[in-house]
Amino acid sequence: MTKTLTKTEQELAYLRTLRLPSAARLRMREELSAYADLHARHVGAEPAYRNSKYLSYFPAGFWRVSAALLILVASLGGTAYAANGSLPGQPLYPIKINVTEPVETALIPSASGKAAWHAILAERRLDEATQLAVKGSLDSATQQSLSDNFSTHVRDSIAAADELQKEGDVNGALAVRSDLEARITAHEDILGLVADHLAASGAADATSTEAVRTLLTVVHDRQDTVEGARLALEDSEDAASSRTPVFAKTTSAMKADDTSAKPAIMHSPREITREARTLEIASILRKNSALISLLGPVGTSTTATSTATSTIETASSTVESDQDIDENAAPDGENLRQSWPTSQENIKN
Amino acid sequence: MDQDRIKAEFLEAYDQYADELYRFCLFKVSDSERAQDLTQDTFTRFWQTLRKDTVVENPRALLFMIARNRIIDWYRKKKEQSLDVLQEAGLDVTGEGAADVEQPAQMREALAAIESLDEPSREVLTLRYVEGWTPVEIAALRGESANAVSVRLNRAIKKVQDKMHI
Repeated sequence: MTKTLTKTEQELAYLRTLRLPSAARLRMREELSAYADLHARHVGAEPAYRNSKYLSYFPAGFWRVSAALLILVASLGGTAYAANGSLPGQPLYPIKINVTEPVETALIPSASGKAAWHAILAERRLDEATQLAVKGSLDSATQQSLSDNFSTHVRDSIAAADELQKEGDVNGALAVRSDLEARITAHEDILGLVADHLAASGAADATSTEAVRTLLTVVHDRQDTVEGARLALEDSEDAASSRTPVFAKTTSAMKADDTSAKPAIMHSPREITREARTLEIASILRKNSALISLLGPVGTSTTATSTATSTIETASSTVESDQDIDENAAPDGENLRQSWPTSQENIKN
Repeated sequence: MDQDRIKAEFLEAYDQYADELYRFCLFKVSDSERAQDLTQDTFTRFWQTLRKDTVVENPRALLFMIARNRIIDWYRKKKEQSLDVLQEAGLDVTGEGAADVEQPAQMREALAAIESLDEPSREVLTLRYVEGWTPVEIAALRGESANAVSVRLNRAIKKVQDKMHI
């Protein structure tokens, strides 16, 4: 009895030889290193602006005059260009939302094009919200309308991807879903930083903080849905893996800089989309790096208990779902939080 | 200066714990690629904690806590989204196209035995006998008493033993 027990233990211990495949280990290390640089700490660097309302730098009549001017310019054919950069609350913004974008949408014939385009528009709303929030001028009504518009585009993008899937282009559907997911994930990340930053920089812009928080829950929710749909699609593909997919189209669409088709064929579509996702997220973060660098460090509390608690609150935001896989003894979040300080002492190597 | 120091610590933690975390994920999700995703995700979240100037006394415990929550999250999503494709066949340890790992028969047997356990038993058993944690450490991660862990461990090891040496 004891003998077989020891033997069993030995065999189990042998599983320790399972390691991360070395290629994955290296790739991951590089990506994490890049991630750490992108999300660098900014010790001592005061945020350059907090509540700067540079709208008020201009004389009162400025906007009315400039609106008239801009409309003039617009009527001369520059509408799309001028309106594209506008933010909610600015004169050209309604044109962008109600005219330019719908027209552009209508001009796209293919389902895959539509899915990608709606993903871009969804991202645009989050981008606008971020810009307003950083200025401290995201009020709840604007937040609401941006959030609704964002959700609509996410829905439309998913619908187009569904259509693509029905047409049989499963890899295409996977690619556009993955692209949407990347955009939402990256912006959820950025909005999270903005929310932290606003919360840390004082109660002066409580409405903005609140608005960003509300928006974040919506974004998180959509991210959940989109990621879930992607996982489901990958799973159903696993189930039907006898099919040999054609990757070339997906790859070239998603990675314009990678012209070698050969290695792509050796990877699964899942790997390709994962890589594309990582690249997309990185590129969005890079695009926003100027903004991110303005968001200084947050939460400077250093007492052992309070940091441990805040740490765990971040880490265990999903603990309440524990019951799903652990029917016998599911600890709830509260439980975990309480047990943490002791556990820290216990687990010291 | 701080960024450099903390980043160095971060990468050191990666070098030190990546394999353990990968195994932890692998035993739970039974898929090499997914386990890799989850491992990477765990470390990005870990970085988020580090960069917020939080003092992390025990990185290993925190990493496992994060990984565990990510996996729970993943299971929940999977359940919600794909009731039709619940069970995948067996542990896919090598991942697609990775031919570098030749699994000895013995290892396959052990994996199959682990696979047959329910989720809590699997976690407890692998942490104890593969990673060498003490019951107290496992209890801390799971948020239950060391006693409960020991009971689970006893049952689990017997089950595995029966499975492997009939």
